[in-house]
Amino acid sequence: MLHSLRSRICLLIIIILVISVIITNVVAITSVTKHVDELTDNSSAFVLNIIKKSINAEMMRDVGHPTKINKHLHRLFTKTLTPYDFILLVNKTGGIVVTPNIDFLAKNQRETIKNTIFLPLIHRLEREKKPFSIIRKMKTSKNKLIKWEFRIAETIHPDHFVIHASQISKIREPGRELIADLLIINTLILTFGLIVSLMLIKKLTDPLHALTKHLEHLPEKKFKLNTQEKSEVTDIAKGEDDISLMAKAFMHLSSSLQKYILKFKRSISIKQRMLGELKAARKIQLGLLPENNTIDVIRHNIDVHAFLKPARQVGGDFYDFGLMHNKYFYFIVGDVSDKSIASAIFMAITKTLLGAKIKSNISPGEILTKVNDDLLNRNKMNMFVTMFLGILNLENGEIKYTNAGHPPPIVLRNNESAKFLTTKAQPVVGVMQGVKYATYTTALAKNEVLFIYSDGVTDAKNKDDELFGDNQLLDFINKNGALRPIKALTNLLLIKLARFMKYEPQTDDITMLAMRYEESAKNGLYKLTLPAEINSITKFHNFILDKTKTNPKIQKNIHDIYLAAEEAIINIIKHAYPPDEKGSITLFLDLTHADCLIIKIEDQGKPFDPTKAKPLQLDNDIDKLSIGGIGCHLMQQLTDEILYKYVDNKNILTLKFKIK
Amino acid sequence: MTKFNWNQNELNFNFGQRMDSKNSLDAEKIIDEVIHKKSPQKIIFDLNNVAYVASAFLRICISMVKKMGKDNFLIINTQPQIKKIFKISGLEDFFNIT
Repeated sequence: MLHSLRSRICLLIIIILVISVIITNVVAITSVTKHVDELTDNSSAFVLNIIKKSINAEMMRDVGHPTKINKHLHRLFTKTLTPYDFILLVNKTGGIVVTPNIDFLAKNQRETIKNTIFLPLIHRLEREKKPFSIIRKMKTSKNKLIKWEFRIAETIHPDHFVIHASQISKIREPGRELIADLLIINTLILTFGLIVSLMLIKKLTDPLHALTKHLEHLPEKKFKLNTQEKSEVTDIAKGEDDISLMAKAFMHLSSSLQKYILKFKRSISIKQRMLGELKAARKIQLGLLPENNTIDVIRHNIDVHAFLKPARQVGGDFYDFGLMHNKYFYFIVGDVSDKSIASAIFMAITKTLLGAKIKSNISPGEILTKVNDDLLNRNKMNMFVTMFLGILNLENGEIKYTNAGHPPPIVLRNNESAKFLTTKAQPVVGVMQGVKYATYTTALAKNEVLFIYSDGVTDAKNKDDELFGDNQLLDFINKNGALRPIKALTNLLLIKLARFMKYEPQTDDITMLAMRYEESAKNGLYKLTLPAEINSITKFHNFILDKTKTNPKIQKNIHDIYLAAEEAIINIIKHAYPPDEKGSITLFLDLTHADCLIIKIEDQGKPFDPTKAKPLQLDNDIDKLSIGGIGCHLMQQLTDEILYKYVDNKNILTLKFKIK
Repeated sequence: MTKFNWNQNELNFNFGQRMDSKNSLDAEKIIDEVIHKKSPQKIIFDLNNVAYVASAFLRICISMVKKMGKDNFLIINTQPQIKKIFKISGLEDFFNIT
């Protein structure tokens, strides 16, 4: 409670008022009491003085004889001065000589008064020779306690003393009443002041309180006030004081916040939509790349792998490859200027144009010349593309190629170190009308490698701004060019680049396309297609036996090879096709490699990857031993390399066995 | 061809050279039938002639050992290449193989 501003102000005012009232009262009471005391003393002294003056020694001589006493004197001593004081005449032994008609002088009290008041007064006067007084409380006949003061006058007569007795409580009464009145008035003023100041504080702090409350709940209400709250705040804002200014600022804050929230929401939704569209654009762009980034090695005696890693959502790099007339293999790596949606669209146009031209021509120079002219007709944004285009004759390894401003590919020949496949400089595609691109010719012998890439590879930067560079790339190809399959080479380079860049962001698209020309292998390739049924097992078995019987090295392990194949085949027979469907199984046998035998098994049943089959659960408890999974387990144990793909609605399982 | 031999509560099976998936399937039918008739206390698989086994055959062995227990199911005359298959399948320890 004490934390609120209002209660703090209240407390402060109460403390100030109470302290001031206490001080006023104390000062008043002290001063009044002092004055009353002085007045009493003075009046008592005054009375005694008069008496002293009006009495002389002569008059006192007969005091002891009441009958003879001076009438004047008698009257003096029996009459009270006021209703509250009177004069007593006392002899040396304390006896009252003239008795005034006062009830405290009742007979039973006389002895006490004589001994406790009069005698001590007389003795003291005699001792100290100056007037003196004693204050004593005494009961009246009505049993009421009254405070008396007895003051003795200076000696007038050696045997008689004059004493002035006064009821001080009565004499001081007006003073007391004054103090009491003062107290009451002060208390009233205090109460009134408190009430008024509390009301004032409330009036002052109420708007502040209301504002604070609204401000506190503002976030819960999404920074929006309802009509009632708004009118409250508007009322507060009408004035001219600080709180009104605050209310105005509050209203401004509320409306500004609402505006910002609206803006923020709008910008977020725009951003989300943009992100969604970028994702879709990337999907479309990646969809333009060949569906498979590798090609069937056994059939086409070429091992290819391509990879593209865009720096942003959409990029400007692209690659393409494919077969032409079953005799040629074309391959392209291109890099469109900039990386944006515009460059992605430009890439799509370029790729479409290329695709159309490639089908009907086997001269890369001519193809690029035509594509360049076509692009210039549509190139409103002055974009351009660097490109390497090659066409390989699968039968003899001859490559025709052209290069439009693209980084030169690297060729790794047998028994040579890697080097760049350079050409005369030719302009980039899409800038100059009528450029005639030249076609160059080279050839790949068996096992030779060609590596085409975009500048994202060589320009990869680490945190010290060092480039990966040509030399590191040449070095890498030299060391790892022999890796098989060729996919291992590109994958390793990607890892190497990632290690080089560490946590630096990729600034450019990275594209790589690697290919190895394999030996023409028509003689060592065999194929058998049979229905997917249990009786085919023996036929597949005999087929493999028959084709391998001349090779004693293979015969040594023929049981293992066949067992792996059989487990793959029996899986297909049992699970791939629905019971009512007559499916088929095709087995390719590749004996073209000196160091390995490759069996490829294809079926068109439902997708199933035996390399991802659950591992065999081997428990010590024989009862828990599962019968399933043994086949896949054996297959994996018996092959040196196992590869699964699902392509064109086909399960393709490749089993590779080393020949020792 | 799967043959069997009944001798004092012991059931002795003899198998053909190639126990591939198909032959194992055929053998399993015969084995189940015979066991059902004879209720043997001990079963012996004689692999003397067997030069090749597929996983289907291993499955038969597993169901045997589950049925009979390790002590009452013996696999004998096993050729090295067949032993190897048992070994790489990880099942070797579940059987009495000689």
